[in-house]
Amino acid sequence: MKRQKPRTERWTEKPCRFMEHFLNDALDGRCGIMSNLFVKGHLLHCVRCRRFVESIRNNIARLREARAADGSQEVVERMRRRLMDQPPPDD
Amino acid sequence: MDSALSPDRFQQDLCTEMPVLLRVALRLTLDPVEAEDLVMQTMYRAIRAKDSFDGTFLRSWLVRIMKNEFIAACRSHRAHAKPIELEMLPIEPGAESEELSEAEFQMDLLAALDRIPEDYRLPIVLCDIEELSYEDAASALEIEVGTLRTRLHRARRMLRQRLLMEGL
Repeated sequence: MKRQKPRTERWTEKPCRFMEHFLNDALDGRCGIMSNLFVKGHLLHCVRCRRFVESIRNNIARLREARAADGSQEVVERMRRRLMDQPPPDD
Repeated sequence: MDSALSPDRFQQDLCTEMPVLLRVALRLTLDPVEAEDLVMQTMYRAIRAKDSFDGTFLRSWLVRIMKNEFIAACRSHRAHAKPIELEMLPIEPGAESEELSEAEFQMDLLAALDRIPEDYRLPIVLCDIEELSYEDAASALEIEVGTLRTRLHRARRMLRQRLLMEGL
């Protein structure tokens, strides 16, 4: 992974405006059969939308990996003990 | 509330939701100590309000309680989350070619997520990280499913733009 100079999003990196909701829905498995076909057909010839889908998919995958490696077991265990040992305080 | 659900069983169910709640709280408060306190407050509130739980989906119910607790805490103590450092650090010469490890990239990704406004950050946390359905996440945030969908899509775009701007 290379860190590059900060910059704004180029138009070549934006998905087609009318496709953004379709692409997100397709990623979430919420497209119907016809919408799915429409998205697949569009992705065959649109590099910008393919890049968009790829980057969103990567971000989601990495966020889930970060979740798996969050290392919070110790804190959770401490909270469990507090919850089991201490009665809820009055308001 | 399911009458067969004993208090002990209910507390055990609460405990199984703790890791998820802690992660959500961390993204909400942006502070580990405040996050832990928020989860504990949520747990105690849930125990007191046990009878109002309809028995359908505990996680959504708990996230809803937590969000309301957070809002109440912000209002009463003016304890807003710590301001985020918005200005970007200057990039040193040669930093363009700096190799990022996967762990560093994940940290940068979470940092970028934390800079997104709360209304947009939470749909990503619930749907993309915690893998809740649109319906459950919308129920947790007390918004319509259509609103959640729009915010989630916009949030993904914002996150992507931030990463591009930061050269990731």
